[in-house]
Parts: sequence; C-alpha cells; structure tokens
Amino acid sequence: MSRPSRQPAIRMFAREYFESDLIEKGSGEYDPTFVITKLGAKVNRMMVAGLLERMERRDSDNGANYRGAIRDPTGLHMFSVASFQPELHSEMEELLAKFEQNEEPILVLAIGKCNPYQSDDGNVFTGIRLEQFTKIDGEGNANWLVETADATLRRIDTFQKSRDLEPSPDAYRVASIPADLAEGLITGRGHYSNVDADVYMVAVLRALDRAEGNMTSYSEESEQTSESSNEDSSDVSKEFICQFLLANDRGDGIPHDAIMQELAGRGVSRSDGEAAVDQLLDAGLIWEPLFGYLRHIDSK
Amino acid sequence: MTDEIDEYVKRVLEHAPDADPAKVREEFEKYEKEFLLPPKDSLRSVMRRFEVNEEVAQGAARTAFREGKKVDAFSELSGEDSNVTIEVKVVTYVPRVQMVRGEEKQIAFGWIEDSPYPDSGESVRWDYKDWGDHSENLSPGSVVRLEGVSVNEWQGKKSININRSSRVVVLEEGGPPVSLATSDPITIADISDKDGFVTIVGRVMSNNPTTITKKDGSGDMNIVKGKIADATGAVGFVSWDAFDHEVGTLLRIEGAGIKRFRDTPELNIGDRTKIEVFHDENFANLSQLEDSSKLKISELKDGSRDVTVIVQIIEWNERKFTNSDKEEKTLWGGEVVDPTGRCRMTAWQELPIDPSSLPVFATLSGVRVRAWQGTPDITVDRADQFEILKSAPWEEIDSSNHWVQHELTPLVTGGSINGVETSGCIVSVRSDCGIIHRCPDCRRVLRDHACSVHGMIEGNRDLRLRMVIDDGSNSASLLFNRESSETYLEKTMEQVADEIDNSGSETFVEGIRSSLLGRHVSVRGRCMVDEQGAMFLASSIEVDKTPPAERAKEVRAKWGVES
Repeated sequence: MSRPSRQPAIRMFAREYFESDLIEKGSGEYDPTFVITKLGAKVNRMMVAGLLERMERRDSDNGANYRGAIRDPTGLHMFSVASFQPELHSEMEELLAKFEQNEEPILVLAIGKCNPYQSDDGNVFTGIRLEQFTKIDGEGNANWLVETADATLRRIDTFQKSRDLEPSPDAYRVASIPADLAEGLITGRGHYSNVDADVYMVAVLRALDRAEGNMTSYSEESEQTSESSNEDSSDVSKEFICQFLLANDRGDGIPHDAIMQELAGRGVSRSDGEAAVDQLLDAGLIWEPLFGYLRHIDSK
Repeated sequence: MTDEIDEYVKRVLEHAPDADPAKVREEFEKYEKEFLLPPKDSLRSVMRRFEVNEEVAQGAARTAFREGKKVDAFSELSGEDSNVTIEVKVVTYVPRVQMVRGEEKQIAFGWIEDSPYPDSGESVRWDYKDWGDHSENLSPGSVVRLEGVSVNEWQGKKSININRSSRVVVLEEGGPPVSLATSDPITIADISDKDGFVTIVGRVMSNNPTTITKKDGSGDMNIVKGKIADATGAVGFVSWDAFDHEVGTLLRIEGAGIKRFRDTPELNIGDRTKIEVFHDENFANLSQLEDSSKLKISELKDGSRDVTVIVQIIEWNERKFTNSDKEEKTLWGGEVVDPTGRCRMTAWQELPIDPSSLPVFATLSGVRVRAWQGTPDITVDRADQFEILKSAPWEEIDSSNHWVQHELTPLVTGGSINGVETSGCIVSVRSDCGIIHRCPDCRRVLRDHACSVHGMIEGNRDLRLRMVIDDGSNSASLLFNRESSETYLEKTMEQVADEIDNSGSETFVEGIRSSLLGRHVSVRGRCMVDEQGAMFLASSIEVDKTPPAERAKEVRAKWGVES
C-alpha cells in the first residue's frame, strides 16, 4: 500500500501565511496538519527565507527550545525549534551566538512545517517548526524571492480563475485548476470572505523588485504614500493597541501576533501595525517583558 | 436478507418474544419512511408499541448504544453480538447496487482481517457488508476502527454488518477510495488511478480467445483476452464469459472490475458486467486508435502487454544461460531509446539485428513490459513481433548524451524511467550523507557495524549523498552513488573520509546544505517510482546559475506582470 507521500515545500511569503487562519487536521492518527491560505495553498511544509530579525533561546523543563523571526519583503515568519529536535540545537546555538554578536545581518533560508496554534478565543497564530536551514547570501535570498514570487503568482492566477466556478471538485477539474490547489481553494472559499488578491500581488511585485536589485522603486514609494495618507489611522492604531492590551492582558502580556491579527481584522496591514508597535515601544507606553509578548505600562 | 433493520428487530424481539417480526419491521420502516427516523432513534418508541415496559425499553436502548462490546479478535464474537468495536484491516471493498425491498441501495461487501498490526499476531479474515455507504473510509489496505457494528451468522458462518449508524475511524490510510459502482462512463485514462467497478465506452482493438487450466485441477476454462481503446488510451481486458464482439466494434461496458497486474490495470468482464453495442459517429475509428495506442518509452508501465512501440536499438547482445531444467537457452538483449527516454529490451527468439551495424530502428508490436529495478524492459516473445523500419522515424539519437527533459510532477506521478533530466529545489540534505559501510553480502547499510540480516560484519566503505528535490507541488528522493557523489564534490571517497574524520560529519553536511539547500538545480539520471514514492538516482547535478534579476524578468514575462 502506498505510503503517504512527502509533503511538498511550498514557497511562501510571510504575509500570505500570516494572514491565514484556517487549520485543517485529518481524521487519521498520522494525518498531517495543514494551514490553508487565502490563496488556496494547502501548507504543511514550506520554504521561507529572509533576514533573521529576532532570535532567542528558552529553557524549559524539557530542555532548550528556540524561537525567532525571519523577515521577508512582506512581513515576518515566526519560527521555532522544539526541545524534541536536539539534532538542530547545536546549529541553533551557533546561529544564536552569531545573532547576538550582531556584527552583520544574517540571511537564512529555512524549510519547516506549519505549526499553527489556535487560542481559546479562536485566534490562529501561524508559526513554522524548522526542519533544516542554512545561511545564505544576497544572491541566495534573491533566488528565493523569485522562486516564491513565481509560486505566489501561480496561486493568484489560479485563485482568480477559480473565483466564479461552482465550488466542487468536478467543476475545478473541468476548468483545469491544478490538483494541488483545488482542494485548498474549495475549502478556503467556505471560510474566507472578500479575499483581495491584490495585496499579494503588491507583495510579489515588491519581491521581484528586490530580486532585480531595485530597492527604491515601487515598494518604498507605495509604502511612503500609504504611510503619509495613513498618518491619522496610525494614531488610531496606536490608540487601539493600548486599549486592546489594557483590556485583554491578564498578567502575562499579549502575544505580538495576536495584536497583529486584531489589527489585520481592522484593515491595518502588518507593516503599519508593526510601525505602530515600534512607536509605542519607543515612546515607552508599552514594553516587552517576554520575547514576543507585549504589555501596556498601565496593565496590572 | 439481513440489513440494519433486522438487527433492531432482533433486539425488540429479545424483549417482546411474542411480537410478530414482520410487524416490528413494518413499524421500523414506517418510522424511517414517514418520520425519517433511523431505527437507532426509533428503537425506544417501537419497543413501547410492542408493550415492552418502559424501564426495559430504556435499558435496552442504553445498552445497545452505550455499552458496546470492544474486542481485539473475531474469535471473541458470537453470532448474537451487536454494537461491537474492533480494529481491522480492510482487504477488499466491492461496491454493488442491490435491490432492498424494491429500492436500489448502494451497499458493499468484502473482506476484513482482525489483528491489523504486524506485531499483533495471526490475522483472521471475515466477510463484511457495508450498509451505510462508508466507502470513503473503507479503502482497501487501510486499518480502521469499526464502532457499533454487528455480527451476522448464517449457516454457521459469521460475518460483520457495518450499519448506517456505525462509525468507521481511519487509523491508517490505505489506497485510493474505491469508486462507487456507477453507470456514468469514465475515460480509459482515468482507470489508472481507480479501483472497483467502472463503466467505459471503447472500441475493441484485439480479441484473443484462450483456454486456461484451473489451478484446482477441475478442468479447463475458455476466456477471452484483448484490448479496448478510446481517445485517451487503451486497456487490456479479460472476459470470463463469452465475448464475441469483433475487432473494431464500439462497446459500452458497464460494471467491469478493475484488477491490477503490477502497475497495469486490466478490466475484468464477468457475469455481472453489462455489455452493449454503442453507436457514436464521432468516436475515433480503429486506425486512429491504433496510432494513439502506440506507446512511447516514457509511457511504458510494468506489467503492460499487447503494447506497440517504436524504438532505436543502440546496443544488442546474445546471452546464454542454463535454466532450472538444465537446458541451455539463449537470450538476446540490449538498450533502446526513443525521443522520450531509454530502456532495456529482451528477446526470447533471435531477431534480425546485426550488433555491428547499430543503431537499428524497429516497430515492436504486441510485446510485454516487465520492469527491473525501475527500468522498463520490453520483452519480445516471438520474432514476428519485430519489424525493422527502413527509414528512421526521428533524427538519430546520440545515446551517450540523451537526456529527456521532464518536469518533476509528471515524472514522480508517472512510471519509472531512465535517461531523464528534471529540475527543482533542494529542500532537504539529509544528515546521513557521507561515508557509510555496506554489508559485503547484501549491500545493506550497516548500523553500529551490524547488518540487519547478516549481523556483525566487516563492511565495505561507500560514499553516498541523500537529498530531496521538490518543485513546490511534488517531491522525490534524490540519491547520489559513490561515482556521482565524487563528481559533484570534486573529491575522491578517501578525501571525503579524511575530511569527515578531521572536522566531523555535521560540518560536511552543513557544507553541502550551504551550497545546495533551497537552490534551484537540474539533475540527470534515472527515476524509479514505486509505492514508496519517487526516487531519482542522479548521475549529475547542476545548480542554476542564472542571475536572479534575469530569472525575475522571466517570471514577470510568464505571468504578465512586467514592470
């Protein structure tokens, strides 16, 4: 009998993965877990890359585990290495040491599996549990950007083509929707509403610009315009973050991702949200007692 | 005839022995038809109607559904047991449309085995019937937990009834779910990933009556073997009944069973198969189908027969051997190529091939395909299956540098193939890359100086690299033997061994990861596909050195997002 085949490594920008909140677990004991993105990617294993932006070790009763974040042009990928992955620990220590020396930017490429977490109130936090990684150079990063842009464009294209189809496997097959996307697209349609594929198109164009060595064009202009026009909304975001922290903090702080999720629900992009958090941190209104967790200074 | 309702009738009768079974059944049927209540939900009401006192009724309903009997083996079950929970392996699942009291019902029967895990002892095989349309969860090969099933005993033989209210929990996935018996025709190409019974429309391509001798010695049997084709492909069939349709007849065949020989599906036409002559002016005619049923080397599958293929023979040898009857036999064999790939060819009769004037182009018709270590081997049984072509059907292929490009996804989902080039990203460089020791007897890799078969032994040193190549939709294991590892690393095995001795295997693997992980590469070699997945034996690997900016432009052009 055929063994379940190895899950492919889906090339995934941070934004598409981060904005997903649909988890699918099979009924069988060893069925893999998937995160289904708004573009219909059914993600178990993925390949991500970018700048190592945060990294820390945590010691628990079961041994050390590691957490960090990799930034690509569209946002942050949160990753972890569990205590039960000792084969990765020595490499993690090495990477952590380099990260703490803080001498030069560290670019990494990583293969990992989705490790989503759903909180009691239904929020989904998408993380990655690393399997293998390597340090890469700028060219390696650019190659990944192109590869991932290509894969994302394929998903955007398929997503657009599938929009007006009747959501059934037969209709998708007749319309030649690729088999690896059809299932996720059909399941996703029952869950996500008002998906705007354009935001991913912006991400792709930005990534391609970067890969072409073009840092100043499209991306920054659009960011600048969006930032200047969003000056008012940035204050609104800051105000909202403070209120959200004060209302929900039960003493341990609020996960960074939960705040981003809330903001996303209000139409605030991750980069704007992070900018707001940074400004609040700089202003000393909020602080980070624990890596990835934020508290308001007035929280009890 | 038993079905789900019988179980409940039995249960009511236990408590109301004087009741008329037919009346009880009628009552259940009424609930089911008029109130859409399954017997499970109506049991208590029905009992009350037959004046079983309330307490007993409640108790019975409770025990029926709450206190199930959980057993490990069929031997623990008696003919009276219901609401049983047991873990079994599904051996077969044969769907059937059956008339149950004037209604067409989708049911299924087959074999299940208890003690489904290899270490749980001897398995016993029982028949079962599925009344509840659980086909999704009962695919052959899967291990499932059956909950709330009942035992049926008839003429001393016990079997399991899986009812509509039963639950089937998949513990281990099996093969693809069996397609339900349906009268909608499917294409012949679609047969390859189906099991169960299908309906097709196709033209008879060949029709060879033969006689087989039954294994139990009870005599001979006349059967018909042949081939039937539509525009999407051809499939062999075996008819166990009279089959007198001439070559060229267009037929609609309903309810033919799919059997598999090695990788090749075959249609079984039996007494329950319905065959009728079909009329369709637009259906491809015989000569069109003959052309389209010619296969290319890349399309050859282990176990295929009655195959027509055109090849360029690039190597041809004679080989003598002594068979088990101590007779000396001669066998001819060699290598063949076509524009889609390369494979082996074997002949049991001498063919007019002069090894000194190769290449020779030839048409092989009606031949069989076997596979050896993943490479198809075309078997020519008789010289009349071989015909030399006077003119070359394609420009002569330089066999020393003949790599046929395939995308990774069709490659890993197709059959095994030799002489291919494909591309993808390296998504894993396994930590067991490097120096290993092999058992001198069986070539198994030694672990802790021991072979899993031959025990502690002095091994032979070998070098290999193991990776995974992936195109974002599918993946294949990627293997480098000593020779191709040395070529890629530009080091001899001895140099690699020294390097690992000096700086450790982790550093060695990290080095490969940093040059290959995530990189887009193209590889050349041989691809083997079996139930374990796809394995690519690489003879060479090349990292795509296209500057990213150039690749970015290609991606923009491909998707129409030019800057």
